[in-house]
Amino acid sequence: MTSRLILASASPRRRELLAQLGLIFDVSPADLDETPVAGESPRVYVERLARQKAAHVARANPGAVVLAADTTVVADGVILGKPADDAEGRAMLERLSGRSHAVLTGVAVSTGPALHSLVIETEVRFRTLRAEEIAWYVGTGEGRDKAGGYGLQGRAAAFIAAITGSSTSVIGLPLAETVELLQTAGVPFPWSPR
Amino acid sequence: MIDAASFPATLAQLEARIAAACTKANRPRTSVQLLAVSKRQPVEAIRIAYANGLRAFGENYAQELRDKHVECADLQGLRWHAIGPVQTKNAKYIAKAAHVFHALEKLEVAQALADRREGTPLDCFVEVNVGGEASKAGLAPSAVEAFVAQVRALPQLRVVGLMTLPPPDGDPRPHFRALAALAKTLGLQELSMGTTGDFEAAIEEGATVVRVGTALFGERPKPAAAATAP
Repeated sequence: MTSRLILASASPRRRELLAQLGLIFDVSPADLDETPVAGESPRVYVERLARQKAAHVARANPGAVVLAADTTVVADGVILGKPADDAEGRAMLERLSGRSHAVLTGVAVSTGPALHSLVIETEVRFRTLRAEEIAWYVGTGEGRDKAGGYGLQGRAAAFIAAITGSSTSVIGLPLAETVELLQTAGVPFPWSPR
Repeated sequence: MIDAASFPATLAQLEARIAAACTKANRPRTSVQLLAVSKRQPVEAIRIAYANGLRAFGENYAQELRDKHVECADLQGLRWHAIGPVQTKNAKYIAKAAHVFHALEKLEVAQALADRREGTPLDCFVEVNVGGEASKAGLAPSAVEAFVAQVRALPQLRVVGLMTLPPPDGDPRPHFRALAALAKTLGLQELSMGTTGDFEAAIEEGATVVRVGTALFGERPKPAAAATAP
């Protein structure tokens, strides 16, 4: 009998990315304090959060394989989380306009005894955005629940001049690396021998 | 309560919305079934709807379904859908009167339905709690495959698809998509999802049965004071 797979995330985008792989999984979001520790680098931050979320949900679900992730946007060494309000959303896009930023996703898989994790970094370059365009985008509300205040798959796809690295990582879950982590954890895929 | 004079227009409006959603989703109109949710509506409302061509009616409460089945026995071709949770002791009413059951999640209920079912098998949707919300009905996605295998051992029941009811607030689309993905992985064809407030999104995400009450019959009457014996 194969173990239950649990996605420890409320993000609908992560859920869809995982569902696309043909995997069956339960959803159990981890509600943890996401405040960065002073002096913590963004890479350490996202990996720590992903590990903590996976471990937290794993404790409540012994025997399950738990997958967690955390995505953050970094520009000028500053972590841009989810905007607190529209004004912050506008400020974030103004900062990102016409330049490159990094999107970091930490992924962690808990099998109970073991906790594996990794960090994927993707470079995203925006074209120059007009003030009216930024105001319009913020008004759509699409960026409200996303790190950096924009959603790669939605209307903000028109902002992206170039991506170097994993595109799915920018959406919230680097699929290639996640598949490898899950296979190592023994999760059966549609193509795995039964 | 609805009246016979205005119902055709109400139905036509709903039909137009369903047709538009099907067009948008590039799906034939025939791929989506409209289930008229008649729970707590008087029999007269069902008769008016039937007179306007509707045949599939959804009831939440086992005893109400039983009573309406008797009162509407003269309406040829009417198909009752049991859409609410059923206690084992009331399964006999569903087994006797319903064509379809949308809220299957307990093996003892499946067993009780099978024991009392005669004639054609009862079509069943397995209810799934896709979002993992606490205190919500439905099986966890990881439990569905094994459950379906157990129900398939009962020839009086036929598992045709999955059902879900997203939480009332928030975007229902991720729930619809998750249900569609799960059904696809398990090889199940039908999706019972979408109600008055979100059936267009549900159709776009693959719903094959939409359960519409308020948009057809208006607000439900308040439950009558308890005057009948249980």
